[in-house]
Amino acid sequence: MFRRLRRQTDFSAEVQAHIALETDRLREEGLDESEAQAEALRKFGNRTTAEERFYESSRSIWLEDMGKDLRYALHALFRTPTFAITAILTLALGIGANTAIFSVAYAVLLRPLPFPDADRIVTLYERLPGGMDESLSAGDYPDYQRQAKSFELLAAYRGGPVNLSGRNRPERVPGAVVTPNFFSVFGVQPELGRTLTPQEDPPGGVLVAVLGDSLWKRRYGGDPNIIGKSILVNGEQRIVVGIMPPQFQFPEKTEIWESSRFRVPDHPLRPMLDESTNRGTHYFDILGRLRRGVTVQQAQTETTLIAGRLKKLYGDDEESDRTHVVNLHDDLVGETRSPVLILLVSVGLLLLIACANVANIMLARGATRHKEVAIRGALGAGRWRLVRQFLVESVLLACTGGVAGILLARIALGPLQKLMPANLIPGGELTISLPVMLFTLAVAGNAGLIFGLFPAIQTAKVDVNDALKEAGRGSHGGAQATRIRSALVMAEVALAAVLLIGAGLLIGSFGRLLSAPEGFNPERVLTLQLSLAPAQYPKPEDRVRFVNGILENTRNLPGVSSSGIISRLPLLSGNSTRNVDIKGRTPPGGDIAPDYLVVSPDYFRSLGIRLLEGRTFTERDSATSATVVIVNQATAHHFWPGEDPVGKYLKIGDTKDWTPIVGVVADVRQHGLGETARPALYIPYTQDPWPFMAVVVRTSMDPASAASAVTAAVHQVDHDQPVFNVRTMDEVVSSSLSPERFRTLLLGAFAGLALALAGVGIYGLMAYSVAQRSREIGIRMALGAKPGRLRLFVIGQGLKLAGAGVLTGGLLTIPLTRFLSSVLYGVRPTDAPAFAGSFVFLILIGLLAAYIPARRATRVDPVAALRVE
Amino acid sequence: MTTQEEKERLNLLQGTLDLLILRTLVFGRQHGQGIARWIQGVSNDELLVDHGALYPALQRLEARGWISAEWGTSDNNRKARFYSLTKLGRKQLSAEMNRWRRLAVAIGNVLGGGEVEV
Repeated sequence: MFRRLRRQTDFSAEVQAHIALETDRLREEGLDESEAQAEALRKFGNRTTAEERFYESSRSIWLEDMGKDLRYALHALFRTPTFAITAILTLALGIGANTAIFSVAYAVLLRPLPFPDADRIVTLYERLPGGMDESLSAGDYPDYQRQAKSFELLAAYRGGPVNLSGRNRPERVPGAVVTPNFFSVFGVQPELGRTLTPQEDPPGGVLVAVLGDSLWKRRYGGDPNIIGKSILVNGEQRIVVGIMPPQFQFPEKTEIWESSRFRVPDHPLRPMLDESTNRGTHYFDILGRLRRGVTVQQAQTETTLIAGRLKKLYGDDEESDRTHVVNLHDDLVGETRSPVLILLVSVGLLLLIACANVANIMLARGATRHKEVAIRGALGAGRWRLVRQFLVESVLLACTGGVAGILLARIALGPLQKLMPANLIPGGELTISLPVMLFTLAVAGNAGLIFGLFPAIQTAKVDVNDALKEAGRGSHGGAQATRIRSALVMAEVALAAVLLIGAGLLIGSFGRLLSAPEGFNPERVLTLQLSLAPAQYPKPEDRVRFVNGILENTRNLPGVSSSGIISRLPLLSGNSTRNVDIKGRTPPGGDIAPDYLVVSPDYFRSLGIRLLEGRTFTERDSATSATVVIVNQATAHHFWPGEDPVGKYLKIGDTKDWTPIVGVVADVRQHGLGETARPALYIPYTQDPWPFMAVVVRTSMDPASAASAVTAAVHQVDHDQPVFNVRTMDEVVSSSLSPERFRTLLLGAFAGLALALAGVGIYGLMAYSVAQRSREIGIRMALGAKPGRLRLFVIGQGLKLAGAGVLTGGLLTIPLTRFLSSVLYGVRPTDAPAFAGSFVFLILIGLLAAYIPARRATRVDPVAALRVE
Repeated sequence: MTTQEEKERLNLLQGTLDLLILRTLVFGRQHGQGIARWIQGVSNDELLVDHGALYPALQRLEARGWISAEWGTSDNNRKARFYSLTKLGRKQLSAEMNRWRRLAVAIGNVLGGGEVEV
């Protein structure tokens, strides 16, 4: 675009030389020196003007032309407002959708963690043979810490919500118990006070807490004097030593960090016990800061060697002998990567469709501009100059579309954030940040080139004479342009087909999820969660008494038909398992550790879980009576295929007793509607009273309306007990589906837009070609062609386009759908209904889009059509 | 000299200057003043090139890649910028000449074979 420019001094020198040469010549012809010089100057004319002209033609001309092009483009767009608005709106949709999804992708996948040198922060797991990552044990952690040279330091933490009580209303906040070096891993300074020091480490030290900024402001009114004061955490005293800045919320929106009693994070169920020699219980996570220059791979190799040594020294068969070191950001992104990438690709396809559409209307518009092009060509505008002019127009369109797109994205971001699964973003909000803006700018610019370049070249390729001769009458474009426009529309339909099939697959999969048997009845059920602080309820009897109290209080509420508790509510994350022994026998399907769930007798009735065999628990199954267990169908099938398990005996975990099975209940989708039920054991809560639980209350009215009465019933037993996550079971089900709903809705929306754009594309092309051929149609009608046949002909053309596009799209999709398979449930990537449905949809749209121009075609007045020429 | 000035000279038709410049350069490289002089001489002083308009034209042709330029020394030992025809320029010249001849013939035909007394 920029030529190597000749310098003006060079040009001046040339003019000087010319005048000297001319003077010489004139002198030879007989003039004297002064006469010759005057004559040479006169003949040259105005030297300054010449130099000015030179200046114009080289140095500033590019910029100045650009300005002219811009003005001209603005003028041209204002002259055809319908075209401009259609194009800008189409682009705004495409670019806006891209901006919104990119801001999600940026927040989820790309935005660096807000810590210095965050790429050196890693998580260390032990790797189980099945490829699962496992937390570390209190016994192993110090060995890694001492032996591994890859890390500047290794810190341990155990995340988990805590109860805050005391002067204000009891509250449940996300917290973590951490080793003193935890904060050093991140290199983040407190905004007030200090973090933890090694003195906090030794057993018996003062237990302290660091507060998050949000908790400090919310609960303690931002009072700086809170430092040094004592607060009640899980019913125990903690001295507040510092406040962390707002952006520090690791892990997962944590608001309070406590020092631990021992050298490792406290065990959640046995906080008073020193676990430091226990190598069998894996319950906390490890963060490390890699030494400079050490790679994740090197760290993993080194720690795997350590794991192997540890297993040899202490391990049993189930102990892992490998580790898995993973960059913290990658670890947090985890499984959300592929759904977000799927959305990003989909929205990219949508933009391509929008570009194809705009390219098409630009081609159509170009066809009507031949005269203008010809005149400008005749006036000396070069071909490249014209191409550039049209490119300026399209980039201008794209940028306007981009600005409108950013506005659209801003509007969309609010609902998007609400729709998004809450834990999708590792700490942070959706915003249109600078990187997102830059992305949008790049997208808009490129879109302008993509949809603009071809029409520009096509339009500028005008034979000046031909165009002027025909003087701007309608019939240009030619066969080639029409072919190109048809190909564009076909490509559009194909891309739309890809999106539609993808959306169809996700919708089908979502439908399967919704109709999957949950194994329980969520209607008219209220749930809430409780967590008893070990300090307040140290003894099992205390916890049993508490549970008995709340069950009795809630059961007696008006409108409540039954109420029960369970240690882990179905569909919430987290799991506990126990190994079982079935009288020395290995089951046919291999050993498997069933889920371990503690329930009250009425739990099954309250959640509507069917009893299939035997009995449920009763009040008589108490702490002092013989242990009993109820299993689900999956357990029955796995351990006793084809047999009735009632009356059989199990040894559960470390217990010495053989426990009889007293009943079998239906399978529950404990770990998500998309997961098949695992074998599960249900234990009466009186025989193993867990400190955390969910209360499940079945009502005869709207369950949400019972919320405050049920909460009050709990507070009657313990007014300091935080009640949290009060939700109906329907809400629990619904929020467990939110990742699926998020991507299904979005992809569905993109597919809908794609469908509309493809329809507009077909319509535009058919309407244009009908307008172009009005003379031909007029002649045919004058010759007696039936309107019905003409209509069919036009519709047939539209259907041909749609059909070709759909077939191409179908073929394109087959290799693409395997990327979807990771997010599909119960639907194969080659699901016939999704393909067929999309085809039918697109063909119908093609039919509709072609029908309107077809009707218009038959309304052509033959006489008028002929007179046009 | 005086005779020249009294003559009513023909104005160059628009676009013909480029053609004449290209044609001049067929004989080899030449500087601007030489080109102007040559056109004037060959046309028997009928065509007078405005020296001020010559240079923008040269500039334009150079930009289009039809001619190239370099600094050199003239016969009488003066520094001057010499222009020569490029391959592309040669092609362009033959196309332009063709077109010009056709135009001339066509106009001649319209005006009546050139034999009619006016």
